[in-house]
Amino acid sequence: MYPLVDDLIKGRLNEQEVDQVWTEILNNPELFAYYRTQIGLTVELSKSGYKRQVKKSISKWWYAVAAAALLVISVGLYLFSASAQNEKEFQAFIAFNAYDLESFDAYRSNKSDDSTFNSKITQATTSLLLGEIENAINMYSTLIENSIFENEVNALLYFNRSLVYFANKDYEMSFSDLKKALSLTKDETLKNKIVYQKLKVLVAQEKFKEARSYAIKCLQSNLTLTKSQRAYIKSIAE
Amino acid sequence: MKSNKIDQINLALKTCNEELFRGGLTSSVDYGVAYLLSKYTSDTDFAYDCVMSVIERLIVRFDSLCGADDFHFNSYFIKACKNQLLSDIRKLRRTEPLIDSHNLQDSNETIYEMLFSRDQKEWLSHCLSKLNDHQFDFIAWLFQNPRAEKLELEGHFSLPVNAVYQKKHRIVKILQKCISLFT
Repeated sequence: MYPLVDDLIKGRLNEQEVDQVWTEILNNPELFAYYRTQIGLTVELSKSGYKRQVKKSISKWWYAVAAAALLVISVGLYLFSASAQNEKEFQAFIAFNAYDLESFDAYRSNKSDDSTFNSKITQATTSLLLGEIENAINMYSTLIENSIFENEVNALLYFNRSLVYFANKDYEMSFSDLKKALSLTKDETLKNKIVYQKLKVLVAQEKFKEARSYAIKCLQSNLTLTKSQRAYIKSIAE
Repeated sequence: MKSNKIDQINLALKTCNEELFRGGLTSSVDYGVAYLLSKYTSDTDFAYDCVMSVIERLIVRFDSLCGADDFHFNSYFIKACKNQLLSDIRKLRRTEPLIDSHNLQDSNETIYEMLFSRDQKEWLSHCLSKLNDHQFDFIAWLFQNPRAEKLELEGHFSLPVNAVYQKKHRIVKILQKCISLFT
């Protein structure tokens, strides 16, 4: 039936066949999801110079998402915890928060010529984005255990794994990975992200007292913070 | 869109539950509109009006449909939407020819606009960016060359045509799963 859906979109079917395919689509939600994806790809990918547009718009988009996520978090982190019961929404949220993966992909492509390593990282990233939590944890764990890479790469691996643990509500492990990541990195941007994530974990664990004192410590430290980052940390500290 | 729509409608008819029936019909609207746009018209509003007429008629007929064993909703719905559209076209043509000849590219774009919100489009781009370069180039070429024939496909990818389709199917499935995280 899938090739017929392709033909439907390409306009290769006659009237009777179109009706038959749509009768099947109506009966099979999976087929409709496939049709919908194909329509999206047909329109998006037929635009010329698509790849460049994606890269450009993605980076802008991530900034927007990061800003929006921070705003949402500062307004109602508790509300988010409640909505996390909806597994799909939760996974989507985590995927949004995984904007670090973008920089990580760029970073490791500069640092590593090892195609096996690169392909494993891509697999782990894809698993995380697809919500295959256990798979992603196993992949990151294998990479960390066998890692022969410098501290900055390892710090990013720990940080990414902490996001997966967070998605899996394993806050202890998430926090422990964040601590390791913080001890390994000298990168200010990553440090800021780790600080945020640590605060998120503490709040998710309902360790409000600890979160508050940690937030106060952050504000007093020499961390380079943007306005929105400072606002978020302040909202925890107050 | 609810995945158990047909089950819901069939159950509603079996148990004579009108509320459930109305709920099932409501979630069928997008399907009906997309169907009409895919072949018969480029006018979303017109397609929408036709589908709504069919749904209103079904609601009115609920009492007579309820309990009927030989009523197959999906085939009925598809036929009814088409007949409604053709009948409305005939009526409209008596006064002015409002319906343009069907353009495939336009209709795909119209369906895309209908099925994807702005955020979902952004998410689709995000999902595409998560493919590795090889997967992206592969899928981009296929969608940018939709009319490529067997020999051209085999020559371009150095793969048998079946393998090309399998690979494409696999990548589309990955994207479909990624997209489903945000729908």
